[in-house]
Parts: sequence; C-alpha cells; structure tokens
Amino acid sequence: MMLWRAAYTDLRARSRGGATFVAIVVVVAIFGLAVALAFHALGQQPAPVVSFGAQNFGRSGTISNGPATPTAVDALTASSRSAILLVVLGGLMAVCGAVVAATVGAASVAGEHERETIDLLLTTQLGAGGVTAVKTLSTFLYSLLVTLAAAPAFGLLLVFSSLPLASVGAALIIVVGSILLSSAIGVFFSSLTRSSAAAFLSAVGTVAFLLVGAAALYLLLSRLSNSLHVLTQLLLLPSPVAALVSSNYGQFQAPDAVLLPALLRASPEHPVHLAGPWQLPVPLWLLTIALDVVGALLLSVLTNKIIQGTGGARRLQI
Amino acid sequence: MTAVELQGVSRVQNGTTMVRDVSLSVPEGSTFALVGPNGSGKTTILRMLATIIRPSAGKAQVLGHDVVAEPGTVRQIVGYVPDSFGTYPGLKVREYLEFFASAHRLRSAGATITDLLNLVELRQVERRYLSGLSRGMKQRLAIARALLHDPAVLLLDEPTFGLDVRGRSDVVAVLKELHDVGKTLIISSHLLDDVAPIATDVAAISGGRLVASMSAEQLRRLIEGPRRIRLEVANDPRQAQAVLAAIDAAQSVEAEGQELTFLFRGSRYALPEVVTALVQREVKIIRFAEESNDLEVLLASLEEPPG
Repeated sequence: MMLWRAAYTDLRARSRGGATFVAIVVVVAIFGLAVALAFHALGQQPAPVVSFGAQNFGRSGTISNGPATPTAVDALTASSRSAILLVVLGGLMAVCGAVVAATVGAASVAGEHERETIDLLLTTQLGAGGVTAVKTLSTFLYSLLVTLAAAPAFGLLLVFSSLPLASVGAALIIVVGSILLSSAIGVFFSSLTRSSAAAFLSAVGTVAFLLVGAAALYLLLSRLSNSLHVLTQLLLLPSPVAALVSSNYGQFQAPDAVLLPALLRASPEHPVHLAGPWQLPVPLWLLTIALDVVGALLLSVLTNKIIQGTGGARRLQI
Repeated sequence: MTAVELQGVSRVQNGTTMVRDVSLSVPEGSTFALVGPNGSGKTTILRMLATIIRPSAGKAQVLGHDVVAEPGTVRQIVGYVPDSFGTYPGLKVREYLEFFASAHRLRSAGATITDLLNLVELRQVERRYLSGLSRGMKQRLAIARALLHDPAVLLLDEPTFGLDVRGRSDVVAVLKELHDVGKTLIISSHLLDDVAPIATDVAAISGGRLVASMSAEQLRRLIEGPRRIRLEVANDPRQAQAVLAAIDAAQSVEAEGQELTFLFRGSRYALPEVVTALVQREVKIIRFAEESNDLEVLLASLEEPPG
C-alpha cells in the first residue's frame, strides 16, 4: 500500500509538464505512420474477403453476393496478413514502450542524486528496497500509460482482421513484458551511473540490443552456419518480435511461411519453440515473458544493492 | 538518558578516512551543536546516524538502537534535514509532504501536515509548486518533512547556511520551539554564531576527529574570548601598530601593507576605546571591522587557551 501511494505520487510528479504530452503525441504519431505504412504495403497484395453474414466484402468495399474469392497461392492469406500486421504493430509498440521505459527509468534514481533528494528517501521507511520498487513501478506505469495511448491500433486489427482476441491479448502481454524489463534496465543503470545522461545512453543501448539487436544478430549468425544457428537461438529470447511471431504462428498459413525464413528455422517441427540443445516444452513467447519478469526481478535486486551502497559513494563532500 | 551515543566511530570512504574514532554522547532533549570547518566530517557523522551510510568501525546508537543492526527502527525515531535543498519541482508543498508521509507509512497524515505547515509558517503557500519557494521556505519545509513521523531526534545539517537574516531567524525560531517541546536536536554548522544562541552542548570536530566537547556556557566563554579585528589605515601603519602595542588586550598584531590584523582579548564593549586611542594618535582609519567568531578562531583558542 505504501509503495503504491509513493509510486502514485512519483507518477503524478512525472506526468506534469509538457514532456508527457510530447511523448504521447510522438508515440501515437509513430503508430499512425506505422499503421498507414503497413496497410499500404500489405495492401499491394490481393484483398482478403471478409464475410458478414451472407455478404462478402472485398478490399475496395464492393459487395458481392457470390462465393469468396480464393486466395492466390503466391499472395498473403487474410490470416497471414493480419498476423503480420499484429507482429509489426505489436513489435513497434514493444520497442517504443521499451525506449520510453529505458529513458524514464534512466532519469529515476539518477534524478534523485542530481536533485539531491536520494538521502531524503533513504531515511524514510522506504529504504533502498522501497526506493527501487517505487522507481521501477512508477517507471513501468508511466511508460505503460504513454504506450497504451497507441493501443487503439490493435482495435483496428480486431475490427478489420480475422485475428482472435487471444492473439491480441498475448501481444499486449508481450508488450507489457518488454516495458517491465526495460523499466528495470533503466532504473538499474540510473542507480549504477548516478547520471541521467550516462544512464540514458547505457539503458537505451542495452534495450535496443536486447529487443532488436540480439534478434538481428541471430538472423545474421544463423545464416553463416547451422551450428551457429543452433547456438545463437537464445538471442531470440528477449525479442518481442520473435515472441509475437511465436504467439501468432497458428495464424500464418502454409504458403506464407516463406516470409519468416530465419525464425522458422528454429525447429523444423515446432518453429516457435527453440530447437537444438535449448529445446523446451514451452513456446518462445512464454519464455520471453518469463525472461522479462525474471530479468526485471534480478535487476531490481541488483539495483537495491547498488542504492544501499551508494549512500557513501554519492559524493566526497562531508 | 542518552539520545545518541557514538563509540569509536570511523568511516572510510573511497580510501579516505572521513571520520576517525569519534566518541560522543548526546543527552536526550538537548540541542547539540556539531561544529567544524567544511570537510571536517560533520555531515558524515549525521549521515551515519540517519542510516544512509554505515560506520566502517565503532558503534553508533540512537535511543539505544544500533544504526547498523536496526536501521528501520532508527529511521522511525530520527528525522534528517540534509545540507542541500533537494526538492521535487513538479510537486506542490502539501503534495511533497504527502509523498513523504506515505514513504513513512503514515496513514491519514492530513492533520499532521496542516499542523507542521502552521509550525513552519508555510500554510499560506501549501498549494504552491516547490520551484516557486525561496531558500528559507524550502529549508523550513525540509524541517517540516523531517518532523512528519514525529521523530524524537532531529539531525540538521547546516540548517541556516545560505539563508538571509530573516530566513536564519525564522529557522532558529522553529528550532527553539522544537527544543522546548523536548526534541533532541543535533545541528551541524561551520558557523559558531549560528548555533551559539540555541546550543546546549557543543562538540568541535576537525579533520574527522573530535577535538573538543563543551557545554554551551563554555562555548559562550570561548566566543567572548579572542576576536580577530581587521584594521585598514590611510597613513603610516607603523603608527597604528605602535598604538596597538600599547594596548594589553590587543595581541598578535600583524601588518600587511595598509592593513593590520590583531586578536582582541577583551569585551566587545572595550573596542570603541581602541578606536578612540587610534584616532587620538591621528591614525586615519579607513576600516575597523571585527571578523566573525568563526571556527578557525575557536579551534585556535582550543589549541592555545586564553591566558
């Protein structure tokens, strides 16, 4: 209860001023652009046919009373198109949210050092553990709120696609997991460097590598040799894009599988599970969420230790 | 009863010994002044008592609770006002106190906050953002924050430093009020004049070591002791030097150009007589000023007690 109240006050203080407004506008603008580009790119393919009762609607909005037009073999099926849109939008949302979380988290504990308020917090009943929890919680909630401003984009997917609600729900959980891990990374570097600028560079760099760079590295290495492909599969674990592909694999229909060559190589039989020595009986996306949660907890433990120890190293003035 | 007890406390930080084997005892209900020049170790001692940092050696207790073994309990009975005015510019005065009330696990602290705002005379600005407060207001707000959980012991690090005359007197008035209601106050300062009116006990610290411990009465005697006087003359300084040499209370006369400094070991009410003597011997005085009874004078006095 105490943590929630303190986190709420911290969140309220962060939300004031123009920065939050700008962040929301930027996130929504990025999403608006992404949605437009994705629809435009996928719109080059033949239209899916969506049925409403007895009537079928084509992409042009014309109404036909005849049977649905069969999908061309060399084109995306409606289901694959929807899944790809979900991966693109979900991945973008996860990365945007993660960058916001890393940025906000980087200013959290370092900001307390820079404002010279860290001592005030450490002498309350919060202690180092409470400070860690409050900062991580408020960073997470703030980033989540800013990112969720773009959530209506998922509504578009639900309305105009054949995606089940569970797929969108899983995508949102993956996004939330990425934001949680990135919040913890931001707060960790914030406590470690005690400088907002240094923490920002370290946290955003780390998040960018974990969420995007690691998967890119895997794609690169997996093409070099098969053994490297097996060894480097773990690089996919933190990637929200890989997790989104995994959670929606059932939506990709056979002819479209060629769109995901690298990811599909993960396992010939169960492409969304890790293969080779890492093969586990759970899908990749669940492992990603587990990694997000466990990683956030471990980083919070480390942050707590650092804050406990930095009281003395804060400055040399006595 | 003893409010604070330090036994052989040392603190080594980044290879530097900040506090070396300090032992002192602070009686409950006293206003204890910890005086010393900048960098002497005062803040380090206060931060150890506030459980922000740990002693490297020795034992520190607040009302019988060890700062290392029982930090949670110590935080409940200690309020800390640091030497900086760290605030959250995005919060308003009342919100700031509400935030720290929640951090202290206080439920329904509204009435307490109102009382404290009245105590420090900030009730009229409770809806103002912290960024709009003066330094004096921020310092009084810091004291209110430190009192939220009604601590028995209040640690104040340079509480009047950087304040104007009005700000100082406001803060001193609040501290006197707290002393009157039985709080134990530990005040660090590098300005003796600031703590002399309110301190009941004094410890002087220099280079991380405790160099003296005395009662307020002893302190006042010391303050009434040697005064450093700076004199600037327009004519030959040797003339002024000769006049001062004839005055018993004027000692350690040093001349540099047209400026002379000397220690005056007499009542301040005898100073006009010195000026009169100088004028009578046709010394043309440009400036005659008493330097503050700063810690250097005190520490010099401790090393060489007035005869």
